[in-house]
Amino acid sequence: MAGRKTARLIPRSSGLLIALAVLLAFIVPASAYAGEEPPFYVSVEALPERTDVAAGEEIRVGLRFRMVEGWHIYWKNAGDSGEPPKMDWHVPAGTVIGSVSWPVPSLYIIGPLTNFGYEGDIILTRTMTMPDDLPSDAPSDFHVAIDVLVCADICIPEKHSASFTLNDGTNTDHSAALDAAVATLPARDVAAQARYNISGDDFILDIEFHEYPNDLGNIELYDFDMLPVDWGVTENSASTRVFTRPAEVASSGLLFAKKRDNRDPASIGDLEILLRYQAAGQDAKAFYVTAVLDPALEASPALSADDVADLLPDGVGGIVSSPVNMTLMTALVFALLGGVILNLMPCVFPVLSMKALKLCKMNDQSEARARLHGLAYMAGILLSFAVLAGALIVLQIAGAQAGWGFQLQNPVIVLFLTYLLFLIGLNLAGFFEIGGGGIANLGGNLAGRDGLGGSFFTGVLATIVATPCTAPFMGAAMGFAMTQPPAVTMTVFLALGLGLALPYLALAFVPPLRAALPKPGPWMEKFKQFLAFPMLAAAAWLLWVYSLQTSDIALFYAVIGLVLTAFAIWVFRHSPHGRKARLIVRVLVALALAGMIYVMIHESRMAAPVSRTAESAGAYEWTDFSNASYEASIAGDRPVFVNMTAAWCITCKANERVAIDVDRTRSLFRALDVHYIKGDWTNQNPSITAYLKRYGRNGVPIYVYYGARDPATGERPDAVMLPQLLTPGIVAAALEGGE
Amino acid sequence: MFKTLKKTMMTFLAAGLLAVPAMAGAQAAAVGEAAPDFTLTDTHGNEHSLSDFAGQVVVLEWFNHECPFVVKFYDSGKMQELQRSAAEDGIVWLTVVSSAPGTQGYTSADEANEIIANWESAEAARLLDPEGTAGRLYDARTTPHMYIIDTEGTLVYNGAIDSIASANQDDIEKADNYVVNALEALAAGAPIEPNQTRPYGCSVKYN
Repeated sequence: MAGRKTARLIPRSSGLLIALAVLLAFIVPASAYAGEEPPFYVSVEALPERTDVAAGEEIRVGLRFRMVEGWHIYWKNAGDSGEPPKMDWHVPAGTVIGSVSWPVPSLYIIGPLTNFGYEGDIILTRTMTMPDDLPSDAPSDFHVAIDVLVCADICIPEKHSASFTLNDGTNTDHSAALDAAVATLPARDVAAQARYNISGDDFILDIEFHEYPNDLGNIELYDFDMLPVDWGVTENSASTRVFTRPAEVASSGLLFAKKRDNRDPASIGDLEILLRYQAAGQDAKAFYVTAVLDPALEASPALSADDVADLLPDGVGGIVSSPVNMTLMTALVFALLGGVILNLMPCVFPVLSMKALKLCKMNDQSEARARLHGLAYMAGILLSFAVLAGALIVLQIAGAQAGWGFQLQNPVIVLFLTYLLFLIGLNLAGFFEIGGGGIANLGGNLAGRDGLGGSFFTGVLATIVATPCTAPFMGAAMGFAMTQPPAVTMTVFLALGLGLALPYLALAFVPPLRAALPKPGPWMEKFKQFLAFPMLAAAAWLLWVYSLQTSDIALFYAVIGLVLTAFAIWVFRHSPHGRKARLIVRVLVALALAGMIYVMIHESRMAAPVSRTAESAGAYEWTDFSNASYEASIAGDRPVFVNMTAAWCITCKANERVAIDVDRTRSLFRALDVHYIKGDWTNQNPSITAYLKRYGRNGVPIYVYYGARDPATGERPDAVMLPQLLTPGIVAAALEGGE
Repeated sequence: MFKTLKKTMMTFLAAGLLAVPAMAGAQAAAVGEAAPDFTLTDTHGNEHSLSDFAGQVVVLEWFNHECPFVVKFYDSGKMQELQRSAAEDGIVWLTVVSSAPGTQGYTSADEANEIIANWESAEAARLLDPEGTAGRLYDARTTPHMYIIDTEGTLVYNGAIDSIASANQDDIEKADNYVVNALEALAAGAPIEPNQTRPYGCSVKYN
């Protein structure tokens, strides 16, 4: 269409073009109705489901509206201004025309005004029932005249027409486009009873679900908008607040409140209301309810948004053991247990080894000093966890999608950890010493006697290297923590830290446990050197993570940087004796190092934020997780297995090696025709974070199995969330149980 | 992450800005209650307050000369006709322009006078509201958006000018004109029905 080309320029918002558009707005009414063709911002096309239709048959007919970028048209209730398109059909006598099915509208906020409508490409569908005398062997014409108001910051009324002909021998088929349009329409079949009332300044709506809508799972995920189809009921710009019903009233109900507008809803009677809900980064969904006036309905004064999590009905969304129902006590116990187990996770192993060394030395030390070490170690861990929790809380308040292990999504931090572990490895191997005391005394020079500072530092280090691991129990506790007020989040994190510190604390405070350790001796030096290797292995693993997050060239710089670092240490140890020469050599080395660090950070920043997958292909066929791929496979009939992983998540890798990427599971997947979806959280990915949140988690791994759709009922069984440590048996039990 | 952060902060900021007019709307003009007073300057530099017209019926018309829905009523001569007939009945017709500077419909006083002359419009005064103060006070949403205030200073009508929401001049004669209905009912001492409708037109271009 000729108009599209001109109009596409408008959103560029140059002053001249805006002025032109304004001029057009002025001229259009005068000219448009005189039959002229001004530039159009909308094009309209009629899409009959098919053109080969029998008399008396019902078909769907769509009108596709395509808007120029930056322009929108309106929903049935347009909001503060705007008008929905008007469609005037001229059809063969006797044709019954159904009402329009409106897609889920978007919100358009213009200063203090809010409108509801559509941009891009939408289809308004309706049904038409053919007259009984529709000739099957002669063409029948259907014609529609359309008045549509299209707006950017200014509005243009446009006139369009569209038509189609049935039974003209063309056999056109638009059913695919109409199917797609109908699939995303607001649901009208929600089994619920809805009542409304005015309460103070609010319009309130109470919905009691006979059957809780499946995809409404965790309501906290969504921004809700309560949109009455009638104008003037609610303040269009006001936000919608949502509450669950008090537990003693009913199991499955939601209460919505929004500032009322100036119209008395009682004068309208029953209200058709659209509940629109949208999770971050996803398409909006919606359902309709028809609400009756109930003058006795009251907003529950006891409810606040914070209470919502506690009041969620059991089994919402069909999730087994929804962790959101967890009490604070359970969460604390889980966090503590998770922390203890964290000591045994592969990523903590090198640090655990260092502590083992220290424990041996502690045999020689006095009771009091041992306790002090234990406390210093605990203090280091708790402080680190407090900092971590604080950062997470701040990020969440700021609205960012962050979760456990989020710090490893930043390649600069991964690189820093690599270097840290590499240096510790070199130190353990005896390549260099700090302050004469080795790694156990690292920081001791600063913090005073007895290497207490060293213990503190070890605690900090233990936390840092523990972050990529998610121990069993921990995931649920962390997920719970992140949905709570900051104070509770902090408490759960500290419980986790305490768990991590606990084994060492026990040794520090219970002498008989210490006595069970081997006696110190010359073997300790060899053991220390041996421990360099798990440490270097951990560094190598982090380097691999880094390479996935960045580029080959960044990896090359990082490795050269490691060599240069080792070289720098060597130079410092064996500098020339002349003072001047020594200074020159050291400055040169320091400059080279600084340059290297600059280049590496620059490379890390340059890295494309695209997640490269952490797996080599071949063993399995899987689909990368995206909202679209997920929704599509859930909508299908096949069973679906979702695995969320990350390169830096050792637990994830271990599970895949032990329980998923094995023959038994592979053949089971094949036998059940499982659709395997894998999400890679190595770098930030908001839709994965949102998925995790839906299941009350904020870290990987998570494994969810959705059983095949029952052909008889058309329903899927409840989704099964698998534990965070897998065996082939656990996977088999989940899959077979789900059949 | 910083992008998200920035976006969030902007949202907060926007929410904060929006909260003010929304709250103002709470005490704003409600049918059956006292119409809130305002003071604005007209195109000749004279100040007018609503309270100056106590004892008279007042019509408020929100206006934007570039809006197709406004043009519909002036191009056809309908609005001028209503303004003249109102003036004959001793009714005060005030046209309000709440377009912010730089937005559609904003005019300087001189430009406004030129438009008044060219369009032969006949309001008692064209009031300039570039800050949108009166517009927000009345929660004016569209151009045109009509309000009627009775001799007691009570708001008795709030809404559209007529019953057919279109920019098509042909619809003017087919539609029920709510303003004419309301003024007739007011003169006859009869209840105004409807006294509240959904206004239609272009959105008011607030800053």
